[in-house]
Amino acid sequence: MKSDSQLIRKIQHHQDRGAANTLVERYYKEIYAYVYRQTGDRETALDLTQEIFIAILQGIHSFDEKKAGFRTWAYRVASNKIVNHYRSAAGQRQGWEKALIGEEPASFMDISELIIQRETIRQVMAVVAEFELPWIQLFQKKCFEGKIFTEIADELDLSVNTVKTRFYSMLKKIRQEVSWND
Amino acid sequence: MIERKISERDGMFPQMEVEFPEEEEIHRQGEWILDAALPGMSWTERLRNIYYGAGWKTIFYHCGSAWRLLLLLYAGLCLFCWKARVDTEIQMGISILAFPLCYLTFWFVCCCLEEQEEMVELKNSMHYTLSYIMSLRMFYSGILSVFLNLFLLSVINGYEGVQMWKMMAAGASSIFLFAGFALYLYQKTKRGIYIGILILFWLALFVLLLPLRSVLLAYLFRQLPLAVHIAVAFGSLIIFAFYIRKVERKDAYSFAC
Repeated sequence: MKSDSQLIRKIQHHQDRGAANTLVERYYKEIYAYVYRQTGDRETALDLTQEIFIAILQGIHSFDEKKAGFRTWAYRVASNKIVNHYRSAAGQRQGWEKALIGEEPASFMDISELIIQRETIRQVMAVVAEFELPWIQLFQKKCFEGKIFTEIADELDLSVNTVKTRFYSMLKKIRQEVSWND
Repeated sequence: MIERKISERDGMFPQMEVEFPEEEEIHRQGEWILDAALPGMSWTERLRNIYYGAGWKTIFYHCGSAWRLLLLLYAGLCLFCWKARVDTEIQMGISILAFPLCYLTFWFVCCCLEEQEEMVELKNSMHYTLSYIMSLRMFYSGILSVFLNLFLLSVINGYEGVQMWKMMAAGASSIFLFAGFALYLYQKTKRGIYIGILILFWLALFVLLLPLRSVLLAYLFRQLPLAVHIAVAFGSLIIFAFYIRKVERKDAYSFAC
């Protein structure tokens, strides 16, 4: 089985469709799941995943494996696309409307409850999208990539205390906003 | 409910169950992605995309003042050569010093214009990166400069035959070699000031080499055959064109990510 680096080189040098197909197949489900968990909607997740892979393949010439691994880079592209989706007027409108007409009002217990419910994840992400990008990345790494604080601190080049402080302030803000809407 | 509660210290978050699409749908999505991201493109289409994809208006946006300055510099040079009736050595010196100097000044002024406050918004909204736009701008202005040099040498200075072609080729080589180096500097630093430093460096080098001018000029324009001059000029142009392609591939799509 060819490594990611070999496939990427083939795409970079020869626009190799076979290599691109292998790379897409290898990461499709992982990225789709990452998007789905932050949108809670199958169609939106399909559209966004498609956009993410198009951006990845079109931008693959700017990918430098010395700076970051392919998975990290792909997640960064995905993260940016998700944030753009929530920040765009259409995304916000769709998110809030769908959330408000959900079958049953979300019972606010805990942030961990909110991010696993399709009805509330869009509310949570709409609040998250109002933060600055490094904060959003922190939140996504913690909640959707399952990383621990020390890993996040390393990746974002921040101290563990800063990461924790930012994360808990985000949780506080989400609790206020989402509970207020309930 | 309670068991899903995150650890206040550093626990893991529970994950929402994912409704994955069917394998067939994933395959179809993959095909759409490949069609959109890697469309089959002929060699000529690719060339057109690299060297003209942005279009004239984008490539030369907001550089009218730089063009006017370049033409003024050339007009000044023409007037100087015509009025002063300078000797051959000085004319040769001009072709070596002034041609790249005019060209680099054009680049420097373009960079300064781009760095003006009102350009920031435009730069942020551009589909292409500034290094790429700059490289195309310099590519076309470089070609135009070569023709201006030809005009200056043949019509104003009255050169003809092998001597004229040698000087024109030397001018073209220096223009495209400097263009490649200036593009490298700009791509790395994104600051026009380094082009200014390159101009000063070139002036300093020229002054340092002045005592050796007779030997250098005799070697360049009398001993060195025309074929070598033309080969170097073409080589420099090809290297610069390849560098533009590299800048395009490296930068042009980074906006998407």
